[in-house]
Amino acid sequence: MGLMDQVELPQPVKYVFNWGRKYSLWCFNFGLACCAIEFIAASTSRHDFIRHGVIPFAHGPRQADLLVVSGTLTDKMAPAVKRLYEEMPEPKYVISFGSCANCGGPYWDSYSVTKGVDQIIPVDVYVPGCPPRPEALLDGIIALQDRIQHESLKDRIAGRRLDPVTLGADAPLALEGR
Amino acid sequence: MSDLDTKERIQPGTAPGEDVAFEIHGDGDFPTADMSLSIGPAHPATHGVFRIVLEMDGERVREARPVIGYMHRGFEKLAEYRDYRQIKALVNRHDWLSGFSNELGVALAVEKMMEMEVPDRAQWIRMLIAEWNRILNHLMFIGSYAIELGAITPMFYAFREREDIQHLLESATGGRLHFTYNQPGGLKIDLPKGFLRESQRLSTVVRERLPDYFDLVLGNEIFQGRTKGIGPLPSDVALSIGVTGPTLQATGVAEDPRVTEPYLKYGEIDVPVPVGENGDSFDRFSCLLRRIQASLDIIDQVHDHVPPGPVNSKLPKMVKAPEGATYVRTENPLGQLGYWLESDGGRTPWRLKMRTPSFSNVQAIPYLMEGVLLPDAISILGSVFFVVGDIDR
Amino acid sequence: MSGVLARRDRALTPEETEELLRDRLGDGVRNSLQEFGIFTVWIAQDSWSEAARRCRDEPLLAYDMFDHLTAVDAREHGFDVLVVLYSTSTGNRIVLRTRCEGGREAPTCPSITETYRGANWMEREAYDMFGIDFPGHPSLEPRLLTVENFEGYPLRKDFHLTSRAAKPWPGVAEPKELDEEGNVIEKEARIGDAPGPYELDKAMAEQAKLANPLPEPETVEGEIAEELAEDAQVAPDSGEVLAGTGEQAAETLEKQATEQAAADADAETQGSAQAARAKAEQRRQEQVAARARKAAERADPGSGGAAADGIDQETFDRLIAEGKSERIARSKAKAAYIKRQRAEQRAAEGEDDGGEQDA
Repeated sequence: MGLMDQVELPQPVKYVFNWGRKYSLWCFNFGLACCAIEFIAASTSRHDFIRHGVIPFAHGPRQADLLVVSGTLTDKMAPAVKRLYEEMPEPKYVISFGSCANCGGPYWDSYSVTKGVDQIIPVDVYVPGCPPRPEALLDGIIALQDRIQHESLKDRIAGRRLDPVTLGADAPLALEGR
Repeated sequence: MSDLDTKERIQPGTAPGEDVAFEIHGDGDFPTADMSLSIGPAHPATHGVFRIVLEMDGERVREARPVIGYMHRGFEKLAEYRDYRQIKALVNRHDWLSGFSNELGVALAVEKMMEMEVPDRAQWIRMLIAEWNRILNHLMFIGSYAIELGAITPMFYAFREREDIQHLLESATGGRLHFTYNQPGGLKIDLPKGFLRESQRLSTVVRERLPDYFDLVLGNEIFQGRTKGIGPLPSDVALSIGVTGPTLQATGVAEDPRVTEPYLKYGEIDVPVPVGENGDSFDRFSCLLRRIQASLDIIDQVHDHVPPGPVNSKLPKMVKAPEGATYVRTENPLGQLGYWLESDGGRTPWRLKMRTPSFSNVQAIPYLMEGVLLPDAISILGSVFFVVGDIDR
Repeated sequence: MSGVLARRDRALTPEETEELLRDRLGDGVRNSLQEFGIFTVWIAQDSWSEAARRCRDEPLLAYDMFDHLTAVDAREHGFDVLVVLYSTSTGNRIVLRTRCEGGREAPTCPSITETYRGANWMEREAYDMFGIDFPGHPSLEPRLLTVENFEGYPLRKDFHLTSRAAKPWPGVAEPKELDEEGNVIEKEARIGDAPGPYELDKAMAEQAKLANPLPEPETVEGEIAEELAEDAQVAPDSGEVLAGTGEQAAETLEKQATEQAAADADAETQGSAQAARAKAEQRRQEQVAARARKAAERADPGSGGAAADGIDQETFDRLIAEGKSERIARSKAKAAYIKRQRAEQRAAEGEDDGGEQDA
């Protein structure tokens, strides 16, 4: 990372730098359950999130910037998710896609389900829905890109994260013009 | 390579707590050690979080051990805490590619115990949507199986159709994956205006596009080379394991509850059951593909039958199944889905056992993979169609 | 469609099956039961494996397909293990059921993996979920579905979900929330009603209201509310309480009829739209006739009549005559009725409240 973790970039450089970063997110899909199908639907021709600069074909966590956790996280699976997250290089972002990944969803009272992926890894954007529509994922990606654009890489590397965005709660139904 | 090197190389692939035992095979200059190869739980070759541990002797699989439970969410316990109307929202999530068929089983079981009359219109509509759901499911597997064998294009073709069908079903049910359209005694609401016409149109469209898949996948030389003669499953073994659905039909057994124990109105129409010959990967896949055609045939017949009338019968104030137990099985897209429903007369079931097709089908994997080459193992894994949530529940 | 149905005619009846099993197993067969179309045979624990083997190998039974094996909590008696078998040749299904030995502490049941391969995982699952030991099984460990160090057996009834104890039901209504008669309390949601108690729900409701302004005259609910609001003594929620079931039924009937017409219109795609329209028109007329008929029935005091329904018959008749739909007429008549009642009440103050309102 060199200098970047020590000095704040000058504003114009930061702008260009972040602009470059936000439109080349290599995405690693951690497809766990139903939401993974909607994730795939979002990546195919009808919804096509590649037009937002998200590339869904990361070969593994080591090549990825963005981790999309889509589906129910069980206690048996949790260590693997944590390990994959740790394998990703900084700066890395996490989208929690679907109710199960957000909070346990319909399995809130189950004995074997982790109640939210945020219990083991930090999350940047929560996308609610069971499962959310592909459009919701697009919305989540745009929200994440907004955040990346205004982000200070120095802070990020130092581990100072902004509060997570919850689609719908912070911007009700995400209807305002973007 | 020294023994120590091998050990270090192999260790990370094995699960904690597993013994790493080495057995040296061969002699002279090329002794080989057994290697334990752990594929998954997150691996591109296994759709979903499915893990399989292969004991390899060189390129050959000596023993395959599927490790499941990574998607175990405790459905059967949760169902005991929810009343009969809430269960449907739960059950249509275990096999997430066939939501409607899942909830249909529960509705049928409850109706059977409560001796409810379901209006004809509701039964025909249930069939219609169940068949569309079957096509949705099979399309997904066409895409994913092709990806596992190295072809990306069929996935995009499959999702073109999937989006259209999902759009159609959404207009009636409001859901893209989980429809929650059934309820004990009928359906939630009636079909929207113009649904049948649209459904008719779409059935023609899908039928016209179907040859694409036959040419693109089934007719592909590479595909044939990788699947023909790979992993044949004899029918007696399949039955003894409890394998059902396209995997069973590929072995030549035309066992399909829609024909042998007709539920809904399947008895009144002609239900084609495609069967294979020797139950290898190619047959399994070709059965799956031909089942789409069969479903389209059924859909076309259903269009001529849907009568006018109400779609739900009046529910009693409380949905309470009487004391006793029953078993209902339906033909889910991946095989037979059975619900063993045992009630103590209360508002929630005493026991709701889901006999899911994937759980039984996956049990065939150790048998199929014995002695095959590693690339063939992938071809077998993909062709025993399963959904991880359906295995683990 | 090969020879599946070939030997269907030779399939044994449940009685014959039981007789055959009794002949082969002696006392091994305890009793049998047929309920909800399922034939269950209770087997003594000692004959369990033998029974499974007989079911497969007897040529007359030929239960070749292993469907599933599972366990059921039998309260203080311990646990039951049951196996469902199916015969592809005869189309018969049988459920063999046995009670585990060892009570709730150490339940055991012989394994049938040697007869049916599919029992392997099913028994592991039963071990996982109920803690039933299956002597003769190749290896029940490691645990199949739960994490390896999981404590307890989740499907036992004495295993409670800790999340439920720690946290109340997150939905709007707890499923066990019932009124006195045992009905689940249900409220009809309308546009603009917040679906839940949270801030987000309210925000969503606001937005929904903006996006879909309430349709004006047809719903009449607004009018009733207005009319009722004039009457100072009317409690704000009594209007809702009055939205009775009879009215809803009429509404559904009406809707179904229209949709029926629509479905018919659907069916006739080949140009005969006119015919469909004529049909729909005819149906509408039938509906009107039915409405009139129903109104007449209601007017008849012998069949329940106006008083029980709690509507003002005069207003109702007038509105029907004016050609309003029955639903609207009924709602308005009801409002008028309430008004009149209140007025009467006020007139005779201190007297007993009219019990008819609860009807």
